[in-house]
Amino acid sequence: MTQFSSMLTAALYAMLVQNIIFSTGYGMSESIRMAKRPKHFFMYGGTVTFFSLALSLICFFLNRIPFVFALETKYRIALYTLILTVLYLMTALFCLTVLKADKKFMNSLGMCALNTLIIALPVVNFKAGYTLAETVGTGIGAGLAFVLSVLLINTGMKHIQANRYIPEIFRGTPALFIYISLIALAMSCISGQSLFV
Amino acid sequence: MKNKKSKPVLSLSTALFKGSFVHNPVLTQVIGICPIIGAATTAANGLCLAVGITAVLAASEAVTSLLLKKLPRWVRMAVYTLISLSVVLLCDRFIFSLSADSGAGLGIYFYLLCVNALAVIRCEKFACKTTALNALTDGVAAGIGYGAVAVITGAVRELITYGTLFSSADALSRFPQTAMPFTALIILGFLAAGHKWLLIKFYPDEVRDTFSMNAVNEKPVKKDPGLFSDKNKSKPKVIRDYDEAIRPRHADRESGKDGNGQ
Repeated sequence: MTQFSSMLTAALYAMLVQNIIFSTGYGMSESIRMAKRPKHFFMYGGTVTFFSLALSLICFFLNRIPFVFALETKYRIALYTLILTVLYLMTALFCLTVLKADKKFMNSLGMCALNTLIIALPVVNFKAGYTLAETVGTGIGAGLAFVLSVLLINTGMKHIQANRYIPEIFRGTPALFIYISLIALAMSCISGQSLFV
Repeated sequence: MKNKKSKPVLSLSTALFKGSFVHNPVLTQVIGICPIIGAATTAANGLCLAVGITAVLAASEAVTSLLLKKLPRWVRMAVYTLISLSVVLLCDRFIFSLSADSGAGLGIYFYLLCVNALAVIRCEKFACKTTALNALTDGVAAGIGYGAVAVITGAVRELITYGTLFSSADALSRFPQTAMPFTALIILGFLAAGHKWLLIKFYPDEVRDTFSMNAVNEKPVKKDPGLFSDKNKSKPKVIRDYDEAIRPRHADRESGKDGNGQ
């Protein structure tokens, strides 16, 4: 029960309290790109969750090896990147041969797997010294945070597009940047960070 | 069957200018913004990111154009990551050999350039279909454009936080919250607006929001006339319901009945 509650806490923390996308910027451009295609975002969200959870778990067990535990950050990231690349290739091969995935899905699989959010998550877990339950929690929470950010950005895009009162030079990308910055600011405040120390 | 080689249409300087300024990857396409948001907190950090991304883009695009054209796309994406990783580790040695302080505040963001979406997109959309020289030029141009945005964002944040430029190592932080992502996004918003203004003024033919909102049109919201618009009073959002509500009365009037249908 304790394990379950710490997993749930870590997931909720990564998703809602300190949304990992808006509070760190990891996977931000992928969220924006996927927000343009809201039809498929549950599929993308599920794929991102799979990769974030799988890589976090693999890296958690790998960190128990003393040699890996003592690695410098840059070599640690290099190792995690290599593992993620292998994981991606195996998943892609499985999807192609067993699931007979279509070209569209295969094109988006790389974007879901090889992005900053997936690579950064095991590093964050390692630095925070998370337990197995918390690692699983952040893995799932990161995927859900991704889905939440895609939803929020998509809603904002639609309203920005519909609003005719935005000055011409702010229409489109500039307005979107400012909209996302306001969500990021709100997320920072939810997590309890004070702006004026 | 011989590959059809594309010839360079633009001169080198024009290609560099267009790739870096007119089609800036950050301000028009919103690609690979994670390191800028997280790590461009000082001008020096922005410069380190600029060096890193330019090297990554140039190497990935050149190698893609030379060697990877015949591989399937899903395999190429893994190869881009490996090429970028090697370049990032090499650049890291170069940057940290300049001085111990350089790149100190970058954290893990510098190494995350190895999975930057910009390299993948430029390789897939351009390098796969052109010659090595064109691909290299495009990589350098996109890197310069990305780097310029990173340096400007870092410089503005450094000015706000420390009141310095390229010398924040010993300075006291006056407003540490500028290191948070929302500051970078606000700066990027205003930079994108300034960039659009310049394009409208000097290159009106090139103005197209490449980050097209049309793709969001699957379930468009109703056009909002704004809170303070007069149109709200004359044509409220429920106008159709209102019309429907009074239509029977008009019909009744025409047929000589009163409003209650009697």
